[in-house]
Amino acid sequence: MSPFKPLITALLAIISLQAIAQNKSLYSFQDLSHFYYKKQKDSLSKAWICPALYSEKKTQKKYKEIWDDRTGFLTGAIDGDNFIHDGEVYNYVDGIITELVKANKQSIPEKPLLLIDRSSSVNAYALGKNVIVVNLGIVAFSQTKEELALVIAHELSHNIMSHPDNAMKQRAEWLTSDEYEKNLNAVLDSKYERLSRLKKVIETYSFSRSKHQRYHESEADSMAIVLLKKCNISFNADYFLRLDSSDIIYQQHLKTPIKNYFTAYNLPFEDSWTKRRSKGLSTKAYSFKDTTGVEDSLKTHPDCVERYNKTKSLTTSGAKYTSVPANIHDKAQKMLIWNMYSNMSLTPCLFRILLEKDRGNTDEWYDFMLYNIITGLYFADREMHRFNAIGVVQKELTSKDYYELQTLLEQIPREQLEQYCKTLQGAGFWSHMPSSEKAMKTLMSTLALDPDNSDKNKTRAAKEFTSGNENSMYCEFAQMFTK
Amino acid sequence: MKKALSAILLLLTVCVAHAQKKVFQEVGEDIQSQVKAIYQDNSLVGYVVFTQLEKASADSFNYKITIMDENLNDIGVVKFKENKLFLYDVSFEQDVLCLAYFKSNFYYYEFPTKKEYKAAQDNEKSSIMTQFLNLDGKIIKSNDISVKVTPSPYSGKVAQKTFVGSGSLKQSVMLHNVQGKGFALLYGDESTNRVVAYNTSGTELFTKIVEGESNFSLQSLLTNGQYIYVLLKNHKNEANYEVLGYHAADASYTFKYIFKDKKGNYLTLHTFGNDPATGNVFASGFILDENKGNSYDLPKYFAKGSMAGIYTINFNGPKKSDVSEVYSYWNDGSQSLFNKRGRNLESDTYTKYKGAFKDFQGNTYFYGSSYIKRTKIGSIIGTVVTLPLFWPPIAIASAGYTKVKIQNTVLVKQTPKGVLSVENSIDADHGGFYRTNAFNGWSFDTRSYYTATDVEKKNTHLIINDKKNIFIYSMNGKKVVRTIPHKENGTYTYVFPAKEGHIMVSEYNKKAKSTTVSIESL
Repeated sequence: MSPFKPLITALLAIISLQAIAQNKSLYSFQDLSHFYYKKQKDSLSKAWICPALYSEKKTQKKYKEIWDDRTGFLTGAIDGDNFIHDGEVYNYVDGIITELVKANKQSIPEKPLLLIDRSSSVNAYALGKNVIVVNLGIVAFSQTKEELALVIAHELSHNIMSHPDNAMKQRAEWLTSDEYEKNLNAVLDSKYERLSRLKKVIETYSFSRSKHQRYHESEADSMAIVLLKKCNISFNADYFLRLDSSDIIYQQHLKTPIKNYFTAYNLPFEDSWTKRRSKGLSTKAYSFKDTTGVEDSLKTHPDCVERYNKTKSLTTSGAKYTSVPANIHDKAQKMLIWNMYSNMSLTPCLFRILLEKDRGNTDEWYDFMLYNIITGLYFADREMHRFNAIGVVQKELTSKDYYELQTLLEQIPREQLEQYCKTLQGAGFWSHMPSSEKAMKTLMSTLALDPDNSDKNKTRAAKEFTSGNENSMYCEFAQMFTK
Repeated sequence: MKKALSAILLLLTVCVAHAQKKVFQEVGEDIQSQVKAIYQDNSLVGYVVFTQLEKASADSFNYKITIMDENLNDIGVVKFKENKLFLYDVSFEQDVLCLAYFKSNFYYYEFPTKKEYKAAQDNEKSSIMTQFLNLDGKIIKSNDISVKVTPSPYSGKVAQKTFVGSGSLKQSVMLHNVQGKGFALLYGDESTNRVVAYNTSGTELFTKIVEGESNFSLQSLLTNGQYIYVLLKNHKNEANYEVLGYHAADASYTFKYIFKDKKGNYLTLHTFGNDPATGNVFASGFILDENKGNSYDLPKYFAKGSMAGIYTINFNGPKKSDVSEVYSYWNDGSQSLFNKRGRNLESDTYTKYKGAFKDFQGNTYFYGSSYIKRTKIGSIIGTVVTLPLFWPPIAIASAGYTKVKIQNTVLVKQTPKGVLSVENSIDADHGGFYRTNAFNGWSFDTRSYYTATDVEKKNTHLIINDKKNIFIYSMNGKKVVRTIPHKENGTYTYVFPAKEGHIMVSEYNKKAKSTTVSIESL
């Protein structure tokens, strides 16, 4: 027996483990909501019948309109694949809900329906009717199980206290009230400043609604802490402070100059591509006082600092926190990146990939996505949609690195971009890629580089992809060209 | 009874819904917007959306200016109250935006009674308002210059219960930045035409009366450094132009140039622009051949040689001696490429040039759609055969005896020494033969053109907007680099000028009834 045999066996085992890991898709095409929730959607449309609450017909009618709008929003979102039901992330979040429900049977007699929204926004929401929605953005943002549990408990509390249902009722009552009608008629009767008066009418309602909602948020926070305590899940008010910085992801700096991320793939790079050449106003130092934003009094959520101050005394002392498992975090992050790519939101997508690289993530799936972004950009340029694919934003809203990345995607010459696509096609990481990723490579190559730019050719390539990879999550992208 | 009650309830519900709809509709009717590109040194640097929000008092409105950068991102909002305003032009210099409006307390107002209309007319005050904004959103200064406007014959009652003050300025209002100094404003009313210079604080530097030959109109305003050039057109003759020059820092400086060649021929003008390399102002067009009657209303007259050649006039400096004139005649038989009537001997085509641009080496390039002209032999035979009859020969003759067919777009290069050569012939959309007569003139040529210059890459793109496609021709590449179909899969595509080196692509999806706009690299 060869002395190396056990070593070779072990090595083979490691390699095959890696291959298994890579072959495992994030989710299947059938996990998208239009497919997964098809039956629930149909039964939900039938089951969600507006209750008769008002004797006054106009109020009942308005209430039904608002009620139906909610149903329409949910069914529309299901059809639009806004939700995803993968195995791991869904089960992890659902597991937290199960724990909370189990420990709070009195408050939550029936387990709510959980939906995972594919949005990158760090948020969750309660829809009423015992439905709560958790965004992938907040799953990827949360560091500990306790943080995520706080968000979930907060949304459960909204449902327990019937906040979404009450808000619908209040809206219907206000829009059909004599006061509202009187105010509208006063606008019509006035000769001058009609728009300002109308805005005031709407703002008065919004202010009253926001005031209520802010109060509801505090109520939900308090109740969430109770739900957590009953479930023996620690509470830490610091999470409110962390939430305050949740929207600054694109204001982060990269660890190394942008050039390094590209030269690592043997891609030629010129610093001038990242320096904006424009003579336009975007390059100027302007500081207009923003008068169009939401007035503070109209914000629905209280400031995170205010929430922190109100609840800090309730922080569990000496608590130990459980990290969100790495596989859940990674998967949520990847699902977000893919969703952004499907929506052709290329700069934020690429920036997130570079941040992952900064974290030392060597997963070759990110290399595959970098290829997709470059070929996607070249394809968008060919279709005259490069500008929208980049999503050009002002320098004031992002970090210098993000702005440079955006400028690079805008200014890199067309010929260089083509060269990038070709160089990346020959990169080493492809040899480890599963078959669906390789098929995606072929599809992107046809879309971006095939001299035949006809719709017919694109449809053919997309159909070829979907017929060979009918379960692949990438079918979502390919389907845009088969229709 | 129940039925009647239900009917009343239904009516009330409808009334509430109606009141809501009505109020939004009526408030919405007062909102009007204008979108203008902001230019500096002929480069597009941003956009403004000027919105009239609502009537604020008997004679004033609330306005909102939304300022966007060259990528269509909002960068600020400014709100103010004023009389009725119409935005003419916007320019930018040294971090100051200058906006030029027509302002009035009578024109474009609606009055509920004739009495109020008359009273307002008696107190009518109209002006050109220049507004100076800094990039902090502060209105630094506003100036008013009183103007005289004559009400149009349609002024007065226009609807059953509305009386509208109707009328407009006799001439247009133009604004241009003056490098390192401020702005130049050009306008004309019933009594006079003036050019006014301002610094960036909005302080007036000078006002000059624009004096040209009688019956002229203001055509264009350009600047080069601190020199301000005004182009006038005399309406006594189709091709009778003159340029007047001013200096932003020297009120005593004057300059005048009348467009005529040394032989006394008038010159048509198709381009009045800035040389991208030097910034100098230049003008170019055709030299009219006086002996051929100057008529070019129809392709067949044009083909008879109504043009003697093409020219470029370079205003290289402040003095008349700095003006260099480059004339290239073909009517003297000196051009090997063209016959005496301007026909391209190689392609057997004529070209009515629609414009010109300069490259970075001082050459001028003329562009236009070429066409071939053929005689309708069948019509001639038909006329001869039917001569004994009365109506048939008249009917045949009225349809004309010539037909034309559009050919490639032609780019002709004129060197600083006046040597002509065909730079390229660009294959665009094809068309069939069209008969030409007094009714359809040049309508067979539906191509429109504009150019986009990229100073950094020293390249110019010619954008050919044809019937079915938009063709983008690169001077450096010497080829069409993009062909964009106007209509594809229910989407209609149009292109517009944008920031340097780019075009604005607007796509209208008929099915979704939505428009997307994108700033795309050339």
